[in-house]
Order: sequence, then structure tokens, then C-alpha cells
Amino acid sequence: MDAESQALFAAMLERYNRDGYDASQWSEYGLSPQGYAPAQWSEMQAMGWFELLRPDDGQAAAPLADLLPLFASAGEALWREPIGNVLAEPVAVIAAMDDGERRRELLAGLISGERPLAYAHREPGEGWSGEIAATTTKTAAGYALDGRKTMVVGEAACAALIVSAIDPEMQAPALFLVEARAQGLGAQRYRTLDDLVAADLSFSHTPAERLCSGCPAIQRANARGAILAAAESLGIMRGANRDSTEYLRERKQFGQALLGFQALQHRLVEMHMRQHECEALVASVAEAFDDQAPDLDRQLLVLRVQISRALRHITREAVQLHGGMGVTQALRIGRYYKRALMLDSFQGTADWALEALSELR
Amino acid sequence: MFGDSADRGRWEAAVFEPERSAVQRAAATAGFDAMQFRAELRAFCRDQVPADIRQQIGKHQYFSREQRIRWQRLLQAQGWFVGHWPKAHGGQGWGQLQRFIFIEELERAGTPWLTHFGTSFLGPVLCAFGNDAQRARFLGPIRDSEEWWCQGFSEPGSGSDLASLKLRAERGESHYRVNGQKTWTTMAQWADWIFCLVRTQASGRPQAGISFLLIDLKSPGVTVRPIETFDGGQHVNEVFFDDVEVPLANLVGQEGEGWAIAKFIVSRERLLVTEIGKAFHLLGELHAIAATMKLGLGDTATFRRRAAELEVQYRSLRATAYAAVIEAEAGREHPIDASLLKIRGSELQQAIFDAITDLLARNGLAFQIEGIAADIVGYRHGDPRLPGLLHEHLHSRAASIYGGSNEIQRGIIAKTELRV
Repeated sequence: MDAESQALFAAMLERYNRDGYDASQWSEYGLSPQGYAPAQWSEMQAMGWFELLRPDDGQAAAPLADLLPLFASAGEALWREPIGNVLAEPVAVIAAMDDGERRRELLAGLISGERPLAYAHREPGEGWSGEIAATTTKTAAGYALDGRKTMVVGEAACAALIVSAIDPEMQAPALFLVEARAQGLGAQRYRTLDDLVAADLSFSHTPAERLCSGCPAIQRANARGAILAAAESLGIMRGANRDSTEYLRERKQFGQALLGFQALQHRLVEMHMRQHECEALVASVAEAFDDQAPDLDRQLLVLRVQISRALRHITREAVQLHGGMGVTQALRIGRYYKRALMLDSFQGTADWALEALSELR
Repeated sequence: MFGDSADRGRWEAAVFEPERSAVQRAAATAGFDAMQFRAELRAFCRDQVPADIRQQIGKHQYFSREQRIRWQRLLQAQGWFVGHWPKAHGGQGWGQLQRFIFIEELERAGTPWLTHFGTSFLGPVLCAFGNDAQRARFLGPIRDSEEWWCQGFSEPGSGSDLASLKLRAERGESHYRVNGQKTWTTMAQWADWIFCLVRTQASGRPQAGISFLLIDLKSPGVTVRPIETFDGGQHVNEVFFDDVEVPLANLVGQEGEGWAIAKFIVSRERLLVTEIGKAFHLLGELHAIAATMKLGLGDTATFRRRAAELEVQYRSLRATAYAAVIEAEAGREHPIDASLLKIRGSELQQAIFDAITDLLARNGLAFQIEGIAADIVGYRHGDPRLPGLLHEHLHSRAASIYGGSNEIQRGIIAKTELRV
């Protein structure tokens, strides 16, 4: 996308958030068993955004940088719809497949919105180590999968799952496709801190199709997920900073607008500075991803530390600056705060990432 | 509680604090034995907390109205619930130090927060400003937890700037007619009565037109509407008054004396906002959670350093708090102490919850809202104590907002210390 198209895309997204995404329905969305509004999801599918995945010039998918505005918009308006199922990790897995015919099929299913895929990689236990205990065995029809996965987002909205498990022949991780209604697949759904729905999955001799070997596809998928989560975080930062500034401009105490107090101005300035630093960092790491930069692993950890710290700081300050209103459900500020905690849980805390970075050689 | 009791025990042993001699001397001057009093409270909290309440403590679940009342009555059976009231009014005449030790020990054991609107605020106000008829009518039901009180101070436009409040009370023959709104009213949904700052005079200095009125929440024209907070619990409410008739006899003190009474209330429990005992309890939880984590993640250098930082904050705060209380006991209260303790106390609590949450994040946070007050039925992701802890984390964000935000407290310190 050139600069002009990017600006048009961003303007269109802003319009969509203003006119098309009804935040007043948040609590209603929250009551649905899948945690989002199916009608809203259909509308998003019809917007043509998923065309961004259509390969050109022999590329397996469009540059990740093009998707950043979309995830930032999702962050700012707190979309509940599982756009990650279509645009995040599954795309990286599909891109790593050898079978061109099957690859085009799966990608077409994503773009048309007919076959969204959920990414099931993390297993119960602690941390973000990515250890895989799930196993597969060969069967007459393909493979059978056994094991458990946790914190799967968008499971309620997927046609099939992409699951990491040990390949019986290679004795190494590989990625498999499991149909959502496959035999021997159990799903336990629960509501998360940010009012979304995640699932813990169990597989018992579940029919599976092998897509590709795990390494480096898993790394690519996780990196893609991490960068898009960072873009989502940016959107939250923008919204929190905007709302806080406006609130302090309007709220009067002791006969003047709160924004007139220099002590409060400096607090807002710090929040804005952190946002700006993150904007630049996200763009540069997305580029590194598209360019397959050799030090991407280090860059991803730097990104995680910086995003986590900035997002936690900004959402914390936004709550505080809003006073009592900040801890109510009436404003989006409190929802931002909870989403920030959830994103740490999905992607890793700053402590963890800093530790991991210090241990890289 | 997380882990086995040994995990908590290690933390408790590590920060075992012998009674400081300065505390013992101050206590002796006040006429009690600090070590003996503390030992008595610890034994009580060890042996006398009802089983259902103990279970809820372990899961960080929200206590019901009935549980809170039952606990308060158990304390009053020892004469402790209103121990800080004057002896002439059924208390034990405790000074600030004894009350501080009492609250610290209850918090250390994780027992239900004492709803202090009646016992800490209105009781002493009636003793100091009320008349005999008001004392005879209201003190007994507060002492015995028969009537639940809430506090009507904040209004939609008047949070930090309380003197600008607008709730109007017009005096008639036998009644005040009250119109307007209060907000952020803690536990109004459980309350029988509310004490309010009302405006009885619109002209002149704003502080001078404020009066202190007792209002029966069952009066016609009163509406209590809950405010949904982001932790999924219900703590605060809006209270609307539409032509509510309040007997003139429910005015405490004189008309225009409301601001002085409000300042008296604020000065009463100023030092207790530190919640130093709660910080101790939560640090115990943090260490216990870390000890239960697999793969030794709770034992990384990063975690140990972070826990050490929190211990530094905790010990500094406790020393500062006791220094302030001892001075206050001797009648030499320093004007910035309460603000400093409020700021640091809330910051410490929030920092502990951040550390706890970061540890739990490794398991994948979930937040099953039903787990706040009762056990989750059906599938649950993660430890059953998680919802309660996350709920408390979110609630702790309000600790730097309510009762005068940390920004307001810093302003007070600036005014006093820098003479600006």
C-alpha cells in the first residue's frame, strides 16, 4: 500500500469506528455465548478488508505493515469480533505450506470469510515458552491428534483450528488442521477479564490434516500475532490518551478546567510520549517481519517490553485521571485497562520479555 | 490461601516484627500493653473467624452483608467494634494507637473490612456534635450492627472540590425538604441510613452554607441506583433525593456546621487509610503464589528483585505510619502525614496487585465474574482464587481515587510543606 492508500484506509476505518461500531452495545455483545455480535462480524466480513490478504507478485500474503491500521482501529474501538482468526497467526501458517493448491484454498476461505481459522498453540501450564506436548499418530486417512490447548481465542467463530503438535515421523513440532466439529474435540469456553470468550481444548484421537512442519512456521505465526497485538495496543493508547485529554479539558474543579493544572499536563505529556515511541517501534518491527530480518527475535522482545510497559502505564494513568468515572463500566477507559492486562497474559509480561531478552545470545 | 501455610509462614517469619520499644512506650502511656493486645487479636483472628468467612478470605471473595454484620458482632462481643468510642458512650476510650493496632491486625488476617461509616464516622460525630436524643436513638444500633450507615459527601460536580456541593435542604416548619443527588456512595445498596452534607444556604462562603443531616433511606423520594464498576462488583451508588422530608431533629450540630463536622470525620481515620495490615496480607499471598508456580518461574531473579522492592516499600511505609500514629497519640499530628500515608498506602497496594497479576498472567488470566462472591459452577480456567484476586486488583485502582485522590493529597502536601 502506498502512502495515499494508507491514509484513505485509515480514514475509512475511523469512519467505521465512528458510525459503524456501536460501543453502546458492548454489554449486550458480552452476554452472547460467543462473546461478539455475529451481525457485526458479518458486516466486517463484507467490508473487503480481508482482500488485504490476497497475494500479489508471487507473495504468499500482503505485507504485515498494511494491516497495522486495522488492528489499531480494533484496539481503539475495542472490537470484539475475531479478526485475528482471519488476519493474524493462521496466515503465517498457510504461507509456510508447500502444497500450493491447498494453500490457495485455505487462503481463499479466509478472504471470503467462509472459513475463518483459530490458532491453538499454547498448552496448559505456565508461561510463554511454547513447549508442545500434544502428539499425533498416523492413520489410514491422515493423522489423529491427542493433547490439550489453552487460551484459544476465536474458537467459537472458527470453521477449523490450526493446532501445533508433535509429528510422529519427524519427532518435531508440526502444524495440523482440525475441523471445528471433528470427533474427539472438546471445547470449554469461559469469559475473560476483558469480557471476551476464550476456550480450553482437548483432543482425543481427533482427525487432523498435516499442513506444514512447525519450525519456522510457529515462530512466524507467533511473531505475526505479537506484532498485530502491538498494533491493537497502539489503538488503545491512542484512545486512552485522546479520552483523557478531552476529559481533563471539560472537567472543571476549583473553578477551572483540570487541563489547566501543569502537574496534570505533564502526566498527559508522558502518556503521549510513550505512545509516540511505540508508534515508531511497531512500524519498524512490522517492517523487520516483512523483511525476514535476522535479529527479529530480539526485536520482538524489545517490542513486547516497550508495548507492555507503555500500555500498562497509559491505561493506569487514564483510569486515575478520570477519577471515579475511570473505574466504571460506563466509559471505555476501564475496558482499556482490562484489555491491557489480558494482552500481557496472551503475549507475555514486560518482566518475562526482559528476562528472555537478557538470556538471548 | 495460595500454597500451603508454610509459604505464607516463610514470608511472615521473614518480616517478623517485634514490637518496637517506641510503640510499647506510647502504648504504656496510653494505658495498654501493645504486645499483649496484639497477641490477643492474633489469637482471636486465628481461632474465632467463622469457617465460611475464612474460606472466602482464602479465595478473595466479596463478603455478603450478613457475613460482615456477623463479623462485626463477633468483634463487638469483645467490646472491640466500638473500642474507639468514649467510655461514656459504650466504647473503651481507645486512642489512635490502639485503634491502629486493632485495624492492622484485622487486615493482616484478611478479615472483612469494617464498614466504618457508622462506627468510625457517625458514632464519634454524634458523641462530639450530637444531642442526647440523637445519641440515644442512633448509637446503640451502630454498636450492635443493627443499622447500616452510608456516607453522602460526593456529588456529580463536586468530587475533589467538595465545598461546591449542591444537595439542597430547605427548612420548613417541622422538616427539611431535600432535593438533589449524591454519588459514589459506598454500599448504599445495603444501608438503612445515610448521613449527608447538604446545602442549607446558597449565599456567602460555600463552606459556611453546608449542614450535616441524617436521612432515612426508606423515606419517600429516595432512590438508590447502583453504578456498575469495571471490577464487576457492586460497591458504589448514586442516591437521588426528590422532595424528601427529613425531620428538623435530624440536623446534627448547628446549621452551617457541616463543613466542620466533615473535617472532623476526615481527621478521625486519617492514618488508617494506610492499610498497612492489608499490604502485609497481600505480600503473603504474593509469596505463596510464587511458591506454587511450576518451573520455578516464581523463583526467578526478576521476581525476587520485584518482591524485594515491595518489601522495601512495605517496611518504609510501616515505619512511617507508626511514627505518625505515635505522634498523633501524643497530640502532635503532623499535617502532611495523612496525605503521605494515603498516597504511599494506595501505591503499595496497587504495586502488590500488579506483581500478583503479572505472576498469574503466566497461567493465562481469566476472570469469571461469578467467582467474586461464590464458587464457580461448571468449568473454570485456572485456580478458583483467581477471580477474587483480579477483582481486588481492579478495585485497588480506586484506592488512589476515593477519599481525596492522590493528586489532591499531593496538593495538600504542597500547600503545607512548600507553603504555596
